[in-house]
Amino acid sequence: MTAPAEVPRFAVVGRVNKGKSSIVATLAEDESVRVDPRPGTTTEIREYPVTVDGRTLFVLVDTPGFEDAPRALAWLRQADVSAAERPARVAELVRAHEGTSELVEERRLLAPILAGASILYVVDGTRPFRRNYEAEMEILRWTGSPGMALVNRIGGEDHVAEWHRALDQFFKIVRDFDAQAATFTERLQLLEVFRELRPEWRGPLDEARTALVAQRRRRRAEAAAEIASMLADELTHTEEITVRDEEGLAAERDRLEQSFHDALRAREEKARRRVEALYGHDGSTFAEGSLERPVFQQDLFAEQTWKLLGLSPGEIVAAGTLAGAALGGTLDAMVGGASVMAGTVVGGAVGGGTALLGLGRRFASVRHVGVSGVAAWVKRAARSLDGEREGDKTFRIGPHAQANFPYVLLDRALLHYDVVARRTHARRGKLEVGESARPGVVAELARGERRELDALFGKLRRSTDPSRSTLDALERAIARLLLGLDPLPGDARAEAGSAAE
Amino acid sequence: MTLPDLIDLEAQLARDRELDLAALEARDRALLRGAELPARTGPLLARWLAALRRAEPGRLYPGRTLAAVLSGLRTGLVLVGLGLGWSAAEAVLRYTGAHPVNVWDFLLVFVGVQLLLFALLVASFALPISALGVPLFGLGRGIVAAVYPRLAARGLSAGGARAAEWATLWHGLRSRRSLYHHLEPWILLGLTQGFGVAFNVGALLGCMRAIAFSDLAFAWSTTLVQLDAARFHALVQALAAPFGWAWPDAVPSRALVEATRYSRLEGAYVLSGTGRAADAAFVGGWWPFLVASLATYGLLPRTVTLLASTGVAARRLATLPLDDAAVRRVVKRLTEPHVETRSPTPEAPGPLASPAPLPAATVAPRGRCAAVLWRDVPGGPALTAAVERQTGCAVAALQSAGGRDFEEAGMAWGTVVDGSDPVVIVAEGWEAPDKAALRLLRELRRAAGAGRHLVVLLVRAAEGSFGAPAAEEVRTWEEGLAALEDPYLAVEPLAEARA
Repeated sequence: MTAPAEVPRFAVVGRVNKGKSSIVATLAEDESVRVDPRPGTTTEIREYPVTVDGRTLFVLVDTPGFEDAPRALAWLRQADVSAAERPARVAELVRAHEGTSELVEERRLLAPILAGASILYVVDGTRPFRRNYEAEMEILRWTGSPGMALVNRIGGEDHVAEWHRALDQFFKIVRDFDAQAATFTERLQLLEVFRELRPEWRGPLDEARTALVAQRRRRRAEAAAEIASMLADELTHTEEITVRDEEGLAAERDRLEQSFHDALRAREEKARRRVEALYGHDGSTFAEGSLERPVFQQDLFAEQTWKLLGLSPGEIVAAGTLAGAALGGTLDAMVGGASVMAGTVVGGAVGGGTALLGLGRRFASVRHVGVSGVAAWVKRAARSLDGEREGDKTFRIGPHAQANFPYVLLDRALLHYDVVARRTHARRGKLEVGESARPGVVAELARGERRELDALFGKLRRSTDPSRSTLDALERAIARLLLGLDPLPGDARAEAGSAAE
Repeated sequence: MTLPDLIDLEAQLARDRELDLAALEARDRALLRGAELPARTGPLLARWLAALRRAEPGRLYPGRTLAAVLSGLRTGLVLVGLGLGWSAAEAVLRYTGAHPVNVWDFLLVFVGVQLLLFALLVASFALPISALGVPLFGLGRGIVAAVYPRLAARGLSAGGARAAEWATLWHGLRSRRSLYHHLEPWILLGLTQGFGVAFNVGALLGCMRAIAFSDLAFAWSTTLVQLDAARFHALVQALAAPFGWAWPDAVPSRALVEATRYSRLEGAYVLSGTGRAADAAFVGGWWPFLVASLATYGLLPRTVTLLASTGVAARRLATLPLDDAAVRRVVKRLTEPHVETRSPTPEAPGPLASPAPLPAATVAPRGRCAAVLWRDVPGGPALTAAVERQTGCAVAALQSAGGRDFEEAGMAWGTVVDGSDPVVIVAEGWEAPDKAALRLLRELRRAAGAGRHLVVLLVRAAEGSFGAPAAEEVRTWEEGLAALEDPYLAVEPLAEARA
């Protein structure tokens, strides 16, 4: 039995092309891990230390795959050794072949195990079990290091049951782990299993688990901040032009509208990239076009997007009616009910009607902005210094006023977040269309959540410079939505703690 | 939290907004590593900012600069106020002996105007005047709104990146999103009231100088017939009410009022006949009232407002709502452990691009072939039939290799492949062409000789039947075996059996 190393180490071993690097990439959240169908992709040992404040709590070791295990096992068996002498015999195999081109991969992968690492033996559960794998398992057993087996799933077939029957005879612990689709919770569960390999390693592994959960929670909070900031920017964005006359406007209108909507698209794009970066998906392999569901691939202002995301037409009209009725009700209250609820009725009708009229509009439109007051007088004076003539007219586009606009934005942001938070770092290339099965998050919101968002969106739209408290309330509301998409252990406790603060 | 810390906090939050979270966590946690962290948010943030200033001295930390500017502005305003107050007192109390000093002028300048300005100040806080569109109060804001972008644009063109950073910071500070936004009105109020206090102190000093070191004669006059001495006395008595109880001499007597009514037409006090009132002490008797009025209606309100604004600003600074999400995220970064999971070393270079597979020579079956079953491909009649169908020749020899027990060790491959062409190596497509596979092929080549055809037949075995492997698997094998550069080595997928 080899002496355990001071820092827990886990050597990820297995046959070439069976997903070792995928598992390492997922557990270490490292997109730089080379994942390739060609054999011999991993040629050297590479370590992935999990450090907390600079202290290494445990290390994952990616190794080259077994390429000639039966031959290595045959060499080991050439000497008649007792079970107690087997680890030494494995060490002898490594020494005996040093400096040769024989059993290069086997020597490299055995080195960290002989140095005290525990074994994570990876097999592909979508391929059938074959007897020759027993050679690898036998060699690993000879090392005497504690180990567990992970049944990875790379393809579509299912041979997990027969693998379990074989692996159970060689390993104390056997777990299924889909490196391509593992959730954060499943990764944490795997860490908990690691604890069982060596009791003396439980302390650092528990500490790492706590730190990883806290880090994930911080990422979620940052994502909420980014989405809230994006919504605030989008809902307060305006652009202006000053033209000599209406004819001048006709020439500039298209350019202004294009510029305005492009700015909204760019802001959404920026938020997405930042959310992806938060979760470490900032590599060039993250293909934008494939990230999204069919509706998601559409432009922000595409008709299909607006049909499928955000609120339904009925919900928009209902929200408008409620808002109008609330305003009218306030007037009724001010006159002590003397209006016989006319304010409520008329307000509701006007609000609902306005919402109904705006249903088909996906784009903001240009309008003339009048000038009044001293501030405008000063502005005119300043402009005259710039050579503008009296009679010049200023036209503004934005903020985007359509009732569904913030909900479409929010829906797209939440769906994007859902995909990003679920994407493991073993994934390469394009995500399959339809991967996120959610039809849209906004449609599932509770009435209270919708009311809160309605109020916040209203506040945002009323001012180009929203207050800190409004933005803070929006961020908290988004954070609650993200909590539903990416739940973490201890969320209830954390929420209670933040409420107490 | 101090004002410089608050401004630096806003600047840092704005700067960090664009940075990557992982980098922020690493930076912040390293900054305060090993230090005992304060439990309260304010001191914690102050310590963080101090550490940042030390760690990144080249960054823009505008807090101290802006605080110094404010301090300088405050000092400048105080000096200007003192000077203006002194000058105003000198001007109002100017007495050459030709005509006495008019009490009205003093009251208008030092009481009337100041009370009006103070009333407007109070009204601007008490009423939403700007919302009502009263032009006067929008003027300052309008001028700032118009002038600021022009100044900023000029500054930007002159100052480059640092100026742009200042402009962004200034914009952020003035935004309602900033914590400083809630503090600024009280800071500006303090500045203006500091000026007001200094003005009144300067005026008082000027008055005292004129009173102590020159002889002054006071008078009052009016064109209005109704404003007789009795009414004027009632007016000044009302004005003296707040301080009369404490300083009785500061309440002008009826006799003083009557005696000091002055006519410029006559060039004399009205009741004094043709000459001036001779009693200089009597006609100078207004000064206690005037000084007390200045102190009560000018200095006192400004002082109270200055103290109130300073107090409110200090209290707001001390009780900043440091519980919003942005600040909480910073606190989390500072107090929770920083985790790194990625490898610190770069990935070793990958395998070189495989040479393009050589076109294999066409197999001309000689009637018999040998088959080697690689890595436990399930053998049996079905596989043999599949091989024979694919190659068009009978399988004369069948041998396993690559299995658990390394059965090919010491194998006499020459015997196995003797007389067979091609030699077929049957492998499952999903198995990688690893080093053991390459070694087997080399050994077979040695045994079979240079011109014999070797065919790697890739199959997909499933429940006793055999089918074609995936195209990607075939490509992987072709690329993997291309390293052997063997023109008589071919990779073939098993053709599906015709129904």
